Amino acid sequence: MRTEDAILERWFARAVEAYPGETVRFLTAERDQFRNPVGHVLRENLAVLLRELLGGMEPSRTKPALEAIIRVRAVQELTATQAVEFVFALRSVVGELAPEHDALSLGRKVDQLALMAFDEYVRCREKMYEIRLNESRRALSVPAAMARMGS
Amino acid sequence: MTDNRHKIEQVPPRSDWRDPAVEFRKGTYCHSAGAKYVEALGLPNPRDWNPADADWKLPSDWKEIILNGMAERLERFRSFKLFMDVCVRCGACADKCHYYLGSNDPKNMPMVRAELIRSVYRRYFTPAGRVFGSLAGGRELTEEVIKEWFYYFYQCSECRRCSVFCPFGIDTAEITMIGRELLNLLGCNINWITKPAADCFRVGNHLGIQPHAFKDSLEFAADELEEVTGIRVDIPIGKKGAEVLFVMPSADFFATPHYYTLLGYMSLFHEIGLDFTYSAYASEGGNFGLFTSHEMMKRLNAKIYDEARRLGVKWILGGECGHMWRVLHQYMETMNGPADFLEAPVSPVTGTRFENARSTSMVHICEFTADLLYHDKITLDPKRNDKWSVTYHDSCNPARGMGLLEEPRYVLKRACNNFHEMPENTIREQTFCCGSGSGLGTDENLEMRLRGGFPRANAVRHVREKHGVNLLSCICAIDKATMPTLLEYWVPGVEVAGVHELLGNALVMTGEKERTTNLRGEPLQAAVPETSPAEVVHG
Repeated sequence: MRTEDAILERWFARAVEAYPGETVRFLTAERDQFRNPVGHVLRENLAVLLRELLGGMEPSRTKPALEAIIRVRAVQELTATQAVEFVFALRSVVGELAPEHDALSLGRKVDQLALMAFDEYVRCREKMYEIRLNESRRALSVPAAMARMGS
Repeated sequence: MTDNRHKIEQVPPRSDWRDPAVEFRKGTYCHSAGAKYVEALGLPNPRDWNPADADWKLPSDWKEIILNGMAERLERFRSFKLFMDVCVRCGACADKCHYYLGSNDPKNMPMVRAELIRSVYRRYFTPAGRVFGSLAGGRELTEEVIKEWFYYFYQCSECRRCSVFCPFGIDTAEITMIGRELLNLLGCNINWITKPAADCFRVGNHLGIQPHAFKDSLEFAADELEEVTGIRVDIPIGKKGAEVLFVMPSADFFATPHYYTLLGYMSLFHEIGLDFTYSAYASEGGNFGLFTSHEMMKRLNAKIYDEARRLGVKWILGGECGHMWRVLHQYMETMNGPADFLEAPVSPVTGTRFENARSTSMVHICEFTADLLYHDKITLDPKRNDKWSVTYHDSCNPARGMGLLEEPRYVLKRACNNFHEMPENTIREQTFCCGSGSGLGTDENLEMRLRGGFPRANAVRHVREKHGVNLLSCICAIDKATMPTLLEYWVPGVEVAGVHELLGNALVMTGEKERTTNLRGEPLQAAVPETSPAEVVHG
């Protein structure tokens, strides 16, 4: 196994530690994109993030990948710190599997990603309140009735 | 080099599933039912209480009530008895529940959710469990268990996806239904089920819209439709001797985007000259009794046949609704039949006799419309839907509950030029629930709904990225109410519409003015090139 693949596997394993044991097995083993949507989103986007962290951190690729993961974790039974902790885990995973890597440079990128993750987490939670409001507006918004009321 | 400075202990305790303790965290449970609604329905133990409180104000003999309730149901429902005994915990259902896939909470695995009640069954109703208790897989019935039941039986939307995969045919939805019935015996109901059921019982529909307001709503809809088409349609209400009684979910006349589907029905009925009537008495097809108890379901359903009998119609046509069809298709005839005062439904336009609906005399509008299209009795201009790239979400109840898979697709493919299916293991019998069915679509429960809706949204996202899909069509009022919210979070840029809204857009009506807008009042647009995957923004 290439070092990068090994890092990805261990990073994935660390990220799913947040879930109960029975679920960890399922999230890890089931590879179908639709039968295991959470595992798929996590695996696919961690791979993108890893490439970017070891490479140039291109925002147009990093941001969507991070957003996809946080969007899921922001509504699950996780605290804010549990939702973003997987980002920090990469530092120790790389340290264990590729100690020759420039820890300082990677650490800086991980910090940057962690800050982005916090922002995204907050954005998702805010989005949730926004859509909740929009839903209650829609619930009683028959256009004819609104027109009648002059709104 | 190992850097553990940022390691936060995040592994939840690997506790035994038999531990019933649950945390009622805001956003993940529904509000309790208001005492006045519980009272209005004559249900037990009306009181003000909150699931997050330590004291649920249960009756002092709550344990006896539950055990007697279980004994009675084990006697009455052979299915319940069978489902309690027959599960071998093979795990085929484990990863099929959308709530499990979205929340990753093991107690949402269907067999574990069922085990919450099955373990109590074993302890109190089997010889081995009575003697050996937990060694025989039994669990003591405690107040904590009641709270756990409340938490998890209101996290099952009774969508029946798990039952498709069970080699024994165990229907976990029925276990949930019994679980909720038992909770109802203690007065542990949720407001978003009990209030609509009470409104329906007292006034006739979920929002308690009275007959004059019902009439107003339909007349305003006719005004709207006239603006779009230039044609004035009739609004027959309670017309005696009409051939057909039309029953729809009340959301069709008070909520969006349901309302545009109503405009679609109206256009169609006018164009084919259907002799039909609406009813202010049977003004609700939805039946939240299904989520309360068998008795409540029967009570609320009875008005449809009562009204059909009073008006002297020949048969009944039903609109786009989900659980309404589960009740009509699977329970109505047993509960309130036989419908011997009605005739076998025959389409007055094509002469097709709907033998499949002989027992209930009630036809789904998608069957009716597909038959019209099959016989070329209506003309469609699908270009009017060219602004949409459409996919179809099989609403759980019509798909799994009554096998209505092809008819909506037949209509959509004729009414739209751009139609794309979602992946095979997410549609038809295997369709993923919206995560808000069976009375769980409340705003206070949004976080849980977003979890439950994620598997569906994940498939929508796939067709959005692959084909540029921008409209999800469906035939369920709860889908129409909750999917826009779900997609706004998971897949921004995808809107929601009923099948008959798209049909109404495309329907060429005799004598119509030149259409410049669709039923939403939006300008008709020329076909847009489908968005290439690369252009789709990752929301």
